[in-house]
Amino acid sequence: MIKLFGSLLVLLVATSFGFKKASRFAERAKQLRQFITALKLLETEILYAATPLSEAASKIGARIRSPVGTFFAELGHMLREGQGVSAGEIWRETLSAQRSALALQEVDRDVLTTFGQTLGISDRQDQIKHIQLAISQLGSEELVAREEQQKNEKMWRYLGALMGLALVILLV
Amino acid sequence: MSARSTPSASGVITAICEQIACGLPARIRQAILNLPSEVLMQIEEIRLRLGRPLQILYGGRDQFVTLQGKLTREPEAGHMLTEEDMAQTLNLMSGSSLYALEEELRRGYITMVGGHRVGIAGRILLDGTGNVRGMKEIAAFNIRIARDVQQVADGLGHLLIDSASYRLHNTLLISPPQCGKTTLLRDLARKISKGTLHPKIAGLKVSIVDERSEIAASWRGAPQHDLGPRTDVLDACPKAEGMTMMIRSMSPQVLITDEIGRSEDGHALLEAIHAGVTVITTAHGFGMHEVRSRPLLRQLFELGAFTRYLVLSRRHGPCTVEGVYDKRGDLIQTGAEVG
Repeated sequence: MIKLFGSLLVLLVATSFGFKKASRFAERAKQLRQFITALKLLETEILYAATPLSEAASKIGARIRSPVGTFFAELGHMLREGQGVSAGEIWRETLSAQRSALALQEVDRDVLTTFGQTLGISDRQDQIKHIQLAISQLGSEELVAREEQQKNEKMWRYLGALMGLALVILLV
Repeated sequence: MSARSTPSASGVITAICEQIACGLPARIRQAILNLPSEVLMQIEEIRLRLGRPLQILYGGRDQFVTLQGKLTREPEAGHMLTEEDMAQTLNLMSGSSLYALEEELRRGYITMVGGHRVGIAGRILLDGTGNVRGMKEIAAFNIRIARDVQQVADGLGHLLIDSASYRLHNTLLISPPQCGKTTLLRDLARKISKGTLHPKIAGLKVSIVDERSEIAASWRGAPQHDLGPRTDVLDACPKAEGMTMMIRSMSPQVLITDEIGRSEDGHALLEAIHAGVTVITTAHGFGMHEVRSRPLLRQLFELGAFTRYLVLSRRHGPCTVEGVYDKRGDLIQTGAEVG
């Protein structure tokens, strides 16, 4: 009885580990898409309304789902409390503070950090150019992420369950 | 011109603590707030220049300020502003969003909460046709603390009103710079809007075309000065276009704008007067002789556009009325009799 119960538990844990690993891939692609949507909103705010950054970030934070929405809400909050620190610095700090909540990879973070350094320091035209560049870079990252998702998602799901099964067979 | 109320001293200190301070980097803010309160309440300007000492102007004097908030006459003893100080100031003033100040950078000043105005100077960027497109490498800030002086228009009511029909006169205020034209204009707008200018005239709908954001000092759309309950403001709009827009859209009874100068301004002004709107405006000048000699003003004078001319000076402080003239340019009251 105990053996059966233990085997089931091992199987369950291994399967959920596999699913979690798999969802990480889906999550990355989803969050990149959310960042792209957020930057498009930012582009509109800057281009048509010249909304100050803190306000624009809060607005975006309210419209995009967590965790990307949380990142922007936090960014808006930090910008208001910023005491004269540049927007780029605040963007970088917020990004590293939210690192564990975001399923991004090093290369995604690099794109975002580089983009952050240009925030707020030039006129509208220039800001729009930087936003568009970031959107296209994130777009190609998203494509890569989707490919990886397709390749790895299924694999990890099976792998988890199979590993569990293997463990059970070995132990029994 | 006896009763005039300047904002209370504590009001100015509150303005500096709550409105000005948040635009300054922490250590500069501390230095300013450490100044003695009798200095604080007289502050007119705070000046920040890259690589040069922090300076304030107060009560007609100017002094440099150390980081500890001590006043000094020696430029070398004052706190030398670093690039970091200037960058932080710009970030605070712009909310880290330079793009939101594009228009302001093109004109060379920012309006803060409370109507305080910050003049900026740096390196100008030109567009293809040689027009000013913006500014970068900002190396100087001049923070001018706004004081809303009220009641300067007291005792002028009967001069600006046609005693037969109880209508307001189309009025031109003539004055050299720094003599309180805009202050008087603002107080007139407030009184006309409230209906306190003259006992026989109830509050009227007032439209202000505020091309240089000076009359209302709007900050994010809200006038920072009290302009009365029946007043609409068109902020940062070219005068000629703005006057026509306001007449079409806001059906004003009184139209107020400052510093007419270009010929299209005159044209729009005549349109307004023909539409039955009372116009009150200002022009730079020292007296009636300029009204008769400058092209646009002479044209308006000959057409009888204005029925009252008020000449201002600084003889007894800002807003001293030197003389009041009628439609034909005849003196109807000298400064000594006013107020």
